[in-house]
Amino acid sequence: MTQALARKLPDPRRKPARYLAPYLVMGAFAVTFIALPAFGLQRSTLSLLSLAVIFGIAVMSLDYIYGYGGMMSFGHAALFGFGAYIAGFSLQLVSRELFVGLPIAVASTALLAAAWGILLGRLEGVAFAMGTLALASSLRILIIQWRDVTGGTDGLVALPLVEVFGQGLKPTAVYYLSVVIACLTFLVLRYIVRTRYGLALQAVRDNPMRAEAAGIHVYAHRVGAMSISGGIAGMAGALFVYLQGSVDPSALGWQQSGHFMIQLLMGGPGTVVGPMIAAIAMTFLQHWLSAVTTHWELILGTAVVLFVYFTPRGILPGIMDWISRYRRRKGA
Amino acid sequence: MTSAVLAGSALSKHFGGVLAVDNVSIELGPDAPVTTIIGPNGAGKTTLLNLLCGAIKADGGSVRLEGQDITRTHMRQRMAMGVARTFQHTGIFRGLTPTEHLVLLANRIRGIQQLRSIADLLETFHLSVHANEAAEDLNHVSQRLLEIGTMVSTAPKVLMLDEPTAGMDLAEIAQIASVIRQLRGTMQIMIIEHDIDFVLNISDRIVVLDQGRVIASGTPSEIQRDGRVAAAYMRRGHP
Repeated sequence: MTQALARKLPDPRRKPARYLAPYLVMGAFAVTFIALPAFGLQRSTLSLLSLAVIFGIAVMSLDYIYGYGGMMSFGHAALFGFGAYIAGFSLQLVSRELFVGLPIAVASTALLAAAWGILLGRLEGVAFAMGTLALASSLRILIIQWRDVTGGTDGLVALPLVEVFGQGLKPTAVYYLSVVIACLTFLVLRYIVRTRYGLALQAVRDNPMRAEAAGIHVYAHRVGAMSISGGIAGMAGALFVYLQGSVDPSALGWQQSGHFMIQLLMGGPGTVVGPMIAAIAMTFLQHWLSAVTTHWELILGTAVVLFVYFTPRGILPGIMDWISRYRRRKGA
Repeated sequence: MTSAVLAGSALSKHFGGVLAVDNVSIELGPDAPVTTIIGPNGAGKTTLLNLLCGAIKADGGSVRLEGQDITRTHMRQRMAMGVARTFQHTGIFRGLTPTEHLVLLANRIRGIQQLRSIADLLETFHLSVHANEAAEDLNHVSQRLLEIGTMVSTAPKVLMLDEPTAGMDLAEIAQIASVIRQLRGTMQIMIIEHDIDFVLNISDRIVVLDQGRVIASGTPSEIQRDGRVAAAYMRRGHP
């Protein structure tokens, strides 16, 4: 019976290339980024690479709620920054151990994001986006105003090194940690979106009313997705603090949220890896261009417009579309 | 009718000053496995369906499923109890494949006694060849079949279809009719439809609504002979 059913079920090995492409891209990323330090990179380059990967993790978390959940957040940097602050407090007040501070940052940010989800989960589209912007701005103002605890606009500075079993983590170790966490985040998110829970979230994205009619609890799925996404954003924020040794309110700003959103749209929502690669590329591009010219924002903005014009669904889906068209032409 | 699977009693619904459904009672039971609701535009057909499935709250009246009062339950809860529906505008999840649609919903509802295999469902609904394509890439009739199949995968007690043949040619309508015939008897089916040939062909019982009220009810041949039905469609008033 099982064999008969298996014969009739669609063969998963015959899934279109679009299902496999993200894994291939992520594999290439992992191999490249693990090998890079062997080429004797300067410390500043390694630090920039780490920062790019950390932003990539944050953008993957945004992809989870937007690309798969249809929730456009203009306040995602606040979750990233909140995780950074919690990790900083943890280093100062609780423990320098990674295995203590990181879970605290992840859990705290997941809870905060769940609270955001509870408040905003019944809103749609632009209303949801504006809600996240308002909550993020409120959080940023609170952090600036609560000077005694947060350091105000100066933020938390001169934080101690994070440790693993008493050994301080040097920048190279934080780099590898970030790459490993990026790979794990990719695998976990890709796994989740293939589960029934993940499929239900995509159903909510595509058609909330139909999803509700089909018995899916739209609100609960949105709150859950916000929490998972927030936990990952908080984890990226913690890595940011471990890398920089400091954090200030600019990490929570709407500009940073805007960067995350642009990187997501350029990379291709709903692919997980595309936005991460876009985040890494744009972080580097921004760094190099700003070193060359003061008009770097004009150049970067033009590049974004061109990318959006030529690949409106994002770079990775755009490349996949080109390959499909090429194959069809070749076959015709 | 004594053994109604789903029964709406004295249902009423206002939208502002408009009385969309006026004291309508309807029973869906095994003596008429396929019941069709017809009526002119604005007769209250979709509003009645929305009241029965819990999409909107009734101003008056009650809904019972196998004798249990479900009037105060939400649409999602009614779905879990076995009241499934489709929409006038096809309600698929564009980014999911047909297989994913079925995986998602076939396993959501607990306590299903006769869960059909996904492969069988794909075959029944002529979707096997499209099993791994994104739903948004399917043609209109396949999307409509997918929507119906997705609801059937939840093994409902009542399946309500809102204009399942809208925008289809004769061959496509025949395909939908064939699927409904296959489902006939496995669950209670209620259809809202405008295509009168399809209605006469597929229905065991036809209920005619006009201006929110039931003006006639009976077998297809009884309805064909009923002068009030033609009058309602021609807007000449009722006898």
